[in-house]
Formats: sequence, C-alpha cells, structure tokens
Amino acid sequence: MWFGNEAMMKGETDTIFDFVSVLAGPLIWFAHFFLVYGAQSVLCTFDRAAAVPWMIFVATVLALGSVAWLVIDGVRRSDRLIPRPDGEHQDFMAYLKYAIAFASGISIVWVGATAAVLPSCN
Amino acid sequence: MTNTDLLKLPNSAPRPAGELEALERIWSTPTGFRRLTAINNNIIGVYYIATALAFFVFAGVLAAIMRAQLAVPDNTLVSPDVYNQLMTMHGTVMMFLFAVPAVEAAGVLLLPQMLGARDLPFPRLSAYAFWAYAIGGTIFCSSLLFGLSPAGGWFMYPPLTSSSFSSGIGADFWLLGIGFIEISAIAGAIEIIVGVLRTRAPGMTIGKMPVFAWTMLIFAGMVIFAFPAIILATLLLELERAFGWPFFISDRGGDPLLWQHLFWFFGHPEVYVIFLPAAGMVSMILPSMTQSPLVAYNIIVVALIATGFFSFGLWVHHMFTTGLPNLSLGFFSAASMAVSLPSGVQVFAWIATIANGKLRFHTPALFVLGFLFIFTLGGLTGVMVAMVPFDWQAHDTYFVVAHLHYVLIGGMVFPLFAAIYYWTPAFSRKALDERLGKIAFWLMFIGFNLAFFIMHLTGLWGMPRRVYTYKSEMGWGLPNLVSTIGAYIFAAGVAIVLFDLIRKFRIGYPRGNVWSAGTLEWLPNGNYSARSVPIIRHHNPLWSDPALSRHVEEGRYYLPGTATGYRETIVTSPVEAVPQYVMIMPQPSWAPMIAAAGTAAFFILLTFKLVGLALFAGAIAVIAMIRWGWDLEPKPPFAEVDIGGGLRLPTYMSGPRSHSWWAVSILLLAAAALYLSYVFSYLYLWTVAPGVWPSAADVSYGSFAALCAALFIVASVGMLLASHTLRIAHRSRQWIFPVLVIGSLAALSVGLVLEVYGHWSAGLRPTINSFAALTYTASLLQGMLVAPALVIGVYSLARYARGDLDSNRRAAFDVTHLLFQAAVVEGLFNQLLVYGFPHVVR
Ligand code: HEM
Ligand SMILES: [Cu+2]
Repeated sequence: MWFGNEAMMKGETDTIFDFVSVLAGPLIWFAHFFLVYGAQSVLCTFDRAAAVPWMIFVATVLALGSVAWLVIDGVRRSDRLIPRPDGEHQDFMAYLKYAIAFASGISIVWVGATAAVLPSCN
Repeated sequence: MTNTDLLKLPNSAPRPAGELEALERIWSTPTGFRRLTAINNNIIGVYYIATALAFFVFAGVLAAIMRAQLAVPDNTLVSPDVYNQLMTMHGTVMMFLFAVPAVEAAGVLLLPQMLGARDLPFPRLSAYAFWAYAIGGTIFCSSLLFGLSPAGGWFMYPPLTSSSFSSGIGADFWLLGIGFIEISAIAGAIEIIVGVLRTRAPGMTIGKMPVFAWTMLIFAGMVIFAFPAIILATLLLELERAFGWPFFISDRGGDPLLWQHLFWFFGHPEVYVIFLPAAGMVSMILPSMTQSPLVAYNIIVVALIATGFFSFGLWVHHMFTTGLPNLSLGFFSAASMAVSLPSGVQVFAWIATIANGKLRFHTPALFVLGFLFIFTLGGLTGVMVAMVPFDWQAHDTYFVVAHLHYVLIGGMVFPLFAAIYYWTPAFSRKALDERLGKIAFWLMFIGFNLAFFIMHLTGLWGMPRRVYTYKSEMGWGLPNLVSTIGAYIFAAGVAIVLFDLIRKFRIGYPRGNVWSAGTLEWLPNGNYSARSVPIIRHHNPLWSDPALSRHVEEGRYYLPGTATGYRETIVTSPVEAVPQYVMIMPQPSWAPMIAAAGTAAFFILLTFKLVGLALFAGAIAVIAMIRWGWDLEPKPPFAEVDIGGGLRLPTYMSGPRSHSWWAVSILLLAAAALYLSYVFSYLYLWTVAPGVWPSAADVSYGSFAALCAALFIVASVGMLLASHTLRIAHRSRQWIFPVLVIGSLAALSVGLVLEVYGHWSAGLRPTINSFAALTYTASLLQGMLVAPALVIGVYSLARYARGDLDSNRRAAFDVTHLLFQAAVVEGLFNQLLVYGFPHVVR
C-alpha cells in the first residue's frame, strides 16, 4: 500500500506499550529520584544518618546500570534497521528510547552526586 | 515499491457532483442562538482562546490597580485586605484561568488542522471542557466584586488558609473553583493525547509529527500526572475546612507542609506545562519566518520529553527556606539545574535555525525574538534562585517577582502573541495588521523590561513581595514608579493587539498561507478541516510537494466526502500512522453546555454550603451527560467504507484499539496519579506524626477488610464474566448479561459501604487525627471511581435494553468495565494500606 509493507505490518502492532518503553529511561530516573528522596527522609526520621550515603550509592549504581543497558540496547537496535521507503532513515522510537535514557543517566548522576558533597540529615 | 507508486494519488478528479456540498452540510455550524451548541474545534477553539484572553485582561487590570497602588510610597489607593485579594486573584487567574487554558485552547484550535484530522476525537468533550471553564471561571472572578475573594496568595498555604485563619468563604471559593477547573483541564488533556496519537494523517509517523504536536502531547501527559496532586490538595484542604478532617493541623497529626509538597508537585511542572507548548509554537513559527526547516528536530523532541519529565523532580525548590534537611534540598537544587540543560539545547537549535535561513522580520518573528531575549534572562535568574544560599537571600523579595514574570511573560505571553499573529490567517478571513503589530510589539517589549528588570534591583535593595505599600524612607519610590510606568506601556501594547483582533478576526474560510509555511494547518480548509486527508512523507509537506494544497482541495486524497453520511475522521495507529478505521463523530448538541453549567453550579453552590441545590445541579449535569452519550455510537450504515485508492476501512472499532478505550485508560492514569498522591500524603504524614498511627491491636477489626476484599474480587470476576457473555452474545439468554452487571455493581458498592461501616463501627471518626482522616479519604477516593462506574453501568444496561449494545458496539460497557476494575484494584490496595500498613510499622 502507500506506506510500505514494513510500516503496514508495524502499524498493525503498534500500541501504547511502545510509548511506555520509550519512557523507560525517565521512569528509572523518576524511581531513583523518589527512592533516594523518600528513603532519605525515612532514614533521617529514624536516626539512621550513617545509612544514607550507602543507600544513595546503591540506588544510583542500580539506576545507572539499567539506564546504560537501555542505551546500549537502543543503539544496537537502531543500527540494525533497514532504510524505509518513505526515506525515514531510522526507527524514531528506538532513537528516542536511547537518547532519553542517556539524558536520564546524566540527571541520575547529577542527583546521586549530591550525596557525595552534602551532609546526610541536617 | 517504486517511486511512481508512492506518488500516485488515491482519488481521481474531478470529484462527483454534490460530494463537497454533502461534506459541508454535515460539518456546517449551527447558526443564531444554536451557535452555542457548536462543537467544531475551529469554533470552540476560538471561543476558548478569546475567553482566555478575556481573563488575561481581567487579571491585567488587577495588576494595573496594584501597580498604581505601589507607584508611590505610603499610598492609600487600596486597603491592605483589598491588595491581598487583588494579588491572590491576579496570580490565580493568570496561572489557572489564563496560562493553562490558553495553551490548551491553542491545542484544540490548531491540532486537528495541523495533523490532518477533521476534528479532535471527542468534540463534545472539548465543548464541555470549554464551557465548564468559561462558566466556572467567570463566577470565580465575580467573587472579587462582592469582596469574597480569597486573599491567601496564589498558592494558598495553610495554616493561613485553614478555617482558623480564613473563616470566610473566599478560600472555599478558591478550592472548589480551582479544583473544578483542573478537572476540566484533565478532560481537555485526554482529548489532546488521543487526538495527537490516533488522528494523524496517514503516513505522519511519530517522527514526522510537528513539534507543536509533540509539545501538546507532553503538555497533556504532564497535566494527567501533575494536576491530580492539586486536585487532591484542594480536596483535602476543603475536607479540613468543611468537616474538620485534620490533614494540615499539626496538633492532630497533620502538617501544613503537606500542602506545600502537593501544591508544588503540581506547581513546578505547571510552569513547564505552560512553557512547553509555547516553545512548540516557536518551533513552528521560526521555520516559516526563516523559510528553512527546524534544525535538530530529533534532539528538540528529546529535550522536550526530558524537560517534561525532569520538571517533576523540582517541586521542593520552592521550599528551600522551610527547614528541610540540606541533602533533600541538594537533590532538588541539582535537579533544578539539570532541567535548564534541555531548555538550553532548544534555544541553541532555534538560533541555528535562524542562522540557517533568512529571518523575515514580520510581527510573529519579532515576538519570537522578544521571547528568546526575555526568556534567556529569566532562565539565568532562575539558575540564581536554584542555588540554595542565594534563594535564602532573595526569597520573598521583588527579585522573585521579577524572575517569575520574566519566565511567565517571556516564556508564555510573548510566544502566545507571536502565535496570535502567526496563526490568525489560518483561521480568520483576514490577517492582522503588520504595522500595528510591530508598534504593539515594541510597546510590550520596552514596557515589560522597564517594569520588571528594575524589580530585580528593588528586590536586592530589600523590598519584600506581597506588601501593599512601603515607607518613603526606604528609598524604593523611584524604582517602583518606573515599574508602574513600564506596566502601563506594556498594557498599551496589549490593548493594540486586542483592538486589531476585534477588528479583523472573523471565523470563516481563512485567509490562507500568507507566510508560505510548510505544515498542514495551512492547507485550504473549512469547518471540516482540509477537504481530503493527505498522505504525509515529510516534516513540511507543503514545501516538499508544491501541488499538495491543490490536490487536497480537489479531493484527490483520502476521504474527500463523507463516507458514512455522518461526521467522521480517520483513526491511525499511534506510531506509524497507518489507517485503522473511520471514526464516526457526534453532531452539535446542547448537552455539553448544560452539563458544564450543571457541574459549575454544583461546585459553586457547594461553596455556599447549599447542599440540596448543589445536588440538584449535579443531577442536571449527570442527566445532560447521559443525554450527550445517548446518541453516540449510532449504528453505522456500512461495516466498511472506501476512503479512496481502494483503501477499505471498518467504520467501528472496539477494544484496546478504539479511541474510547484509549481515553478511559488515560483517565485511569490520572486516577492512578491521584491515588499515588494520596499514598504519598499518607506516608508523609506518617513520617511526620507516627504517634497518631494506631498499633496493630487497634486495627484488629481486620475481618471487615477480608470481607470487603472478598466482595471486590467477586465483583471483579462477575464483571469479567459479563464482558465474556457480551462477546459471545447469547441471543437466547439475554438476561445473563444484565444480571451479571447488576450483581457485580451491587457487590462493589456493598463492599465500599462495608469498608466505611467497618471504620465507623470500630469507633474511628475522621476528625480525631490525621490517620483517621486519611483512612476515610481512601474510601472517598475509591467512591470517586465507583460512582461513575455505577452511573455508566446503568446507562450501558439501558443501551443494552434498547439494542444498542452488542458484541461489536460495546464502548459504553467497556468504559464501565475499565472504571470498575480500577475501582476494584484501588479497593484492594486500600485494604492493604489501611489495615496492613499499621501492622507492618508497629
Ligand atoms: C502586565 C503584566 C503584569 C503585571 C504588571 C503584573 C504585576 C504583578 C504584581 C504587581 C504582582 C504582585 C507582587 C506582590 O505584591 O508580591 C504580581 C504577582 C504575580 N503575578 Fe503578575 N503581572 C503581570 C502579568 C502576569 C502574568 C502574565 C502572569 C502569569 C502568566 C503573572 C503571574 C503572577 C503571579 C503568579 C504572581 C504572584 C501572586 C502571589 O504572590 O500570590 N503576572 N504581578
Ligand atoms: Cu519551580
């Protein structure tokens, strides 16, 4: 038809989940942010200041690891694409996925790094 | 596939006689008095923007009075109480009744044309959102005339706004009025998301979508997640004021800071909610003005999404001075600075676009340049206040007033005025006057900088914000006089634009593509948008195919007439924009307007504690909504239609691919966000006052929890069975379906009632402490899903009885079903939280 067979086939299957997967990076960022902030308030409420830097460190490493995987996977995927008849040279969604994951990674480092410079609970 | 294949047009010309006339007839706007029933996006969109501008003028007049008061020291033009009302109303009206609705209105007006759709997917919903906003907003503003306005500042911090300090009804007016307008904003956001994702022209893949559509998509997503927080906050504060449920009262386990968290969780993204669509407008205007494509489209999209997301991590930066631990502040400070990066990326892409082409200095271009200048300055002062130590200095001084207006007026008002000049010829028979436009721009630009630049200094010299006057010894007289003069020059500029709009703007066959722009809203169009729906292969289709306008107008693309005899548009897949089905759309109707008036009256009457009358108004609203739904989903005359070029599409769709399924899913996301804000509040108050949480022994009435949970699960299974029976459609045993539906609805309601009864019989009263109040709030929130599920459930049964609900046409039931299962899930969570949590923590 008018859109190329490949697009036609993808159009049959594209769903809301395509969008969720694009948002995986920011969602991890969000989870990290809330975890770090929430766990810190709770730990401080119960006088566990010493645990705060560790908690932040672990959360940050985990978040960064998952984001890094998203980026690597996304780059690999968008490399494998065949040029499409309408001239769009890459899978935009795959591109979005890793570019946004990358941006989220930067922000995770930024937020996590504050733990290294500031006192935990006062 | 070969190139010639791609270039072939779906339809031949000339088109059969009468085709265009039929299309025009079915899309025609009602005339005379019945014009109020119009639902077309080009009519509702224009009303919507006009209303937003009227509120802008109203709030501007309030600002002018304030500026007159502040022009000289020791002035007595207005009393302190009136000043507080003016200031609160100015802030509130600008933020809630002007800025957000104005961009939402721009979306309603521009998106269908820009995406190649005939209209937004739920035209009656846009009409409802508009009327709710217009009626509710007008009543809200009129409170000032009666001296009933709230005076607690636009962010309404308790305890100042609690009943002990603000006993009048001003604060209730704010809470109910704003809560209500936010609900209408969410309705509009659902409409926009489904419109952007599902009604793009065939071939307009997500990567070829205009940047404005991206920004509106992100805007709407942010509204869905951020606005529930403020809805919850207003609900809690109103419950406290009206019934004494102590959420913000510290001696009963509440905390005023909870309000600040909820408010700013919404309030900070709100700034980006306003700013992103404005940036999207700029990204549309610049390519036309320079006649060269936007540089770095891909990166801009990434930057937009990143900004939208990261802005949710910023709320606490408004609370730097409230004594939170340093580290928490550090997180937020870091995130605040991180969010300025994507904004910076965008600014560079715009500058590169200007450098790439040749900028034509028409009025829209001037406003865009003004925006770039002002917004960059506002961003710089923003980074300054994002640094915690500096904020301690500048907090609550005029420095903040200056910063806020640089960001808001620079980031939103200038782009909006650029957009008004730019898009008027796409919708009005005449364009606006260029010469007047330039004069207006210079007045606004100079006036604005005069008024607000100097406020940075006034602030650094120590003048606090929110004061109604100051002593002449302070030496703030001259800078304030300059600010006032600047404000009046700015106002003169605005007045010129409005004058020209009133003189020139006429809805009708639009003037057309005066800027040689490249996107679809510049196709020749009428009420039905473009005559036929083109196939899109480029970002700027009008540039890459000079014959496109002619072919579209000749009806040589898809759907050149009406295929079913109803209003209709093509629904495409969300990523690749492959046509999936033809959606039949509703006709004009009184119902949305009456429903909106009823809802507005409901909220206003509640403010005055006229509960009986309020319920009556609410009933009218519900009846009108049922009437509105009643003639949706008519039986399509054909199961499939040919939209051109041999492409045959079904005329109906149910299940996860249908637009109604999408709309309800998005609504449920908003409900989930509301619930999450609630869980946040619950946990937050627990960390503040763990003492009022009962010990495990006190919540031993857990057998009620088990019973409720069991009922919810039974109800859920019953509804699944009902869904199944509808699919297999026993013609012989037609009673099974209604019996299952009624049984499930009953089980769900009984479960909810038992839940409340359980708390009550155990002696728990919502007024005793925050734990009790939160416990009852859980049931209240669940009730907010159960009630609509009941209404729509009964309505589906009525449709079933009429023979309008079957295995194919089942949207009404599917809507009920989704709401229903969400209510079940929420109910189960509630049991865990209310009974389980105290067990875990003690
Ligand atoms: C002609 C343009 C405007 C002028 C002269 C103006 C003037 C003022 C003045 C005098 C105040 C009170 C400051 C104080 O006493 O602390 C104020 C506050 C405020 N303005 Fe404006 N304003 C203008 C436009 C806007 C716009 C377009 C927006 C938003 C889109 C806006 C949003 C606000 C907000 C949120 C506040 C804070 C209210 C509060 O403290 O509760 N203003 N403005
Ligand atoms: Cu902010």
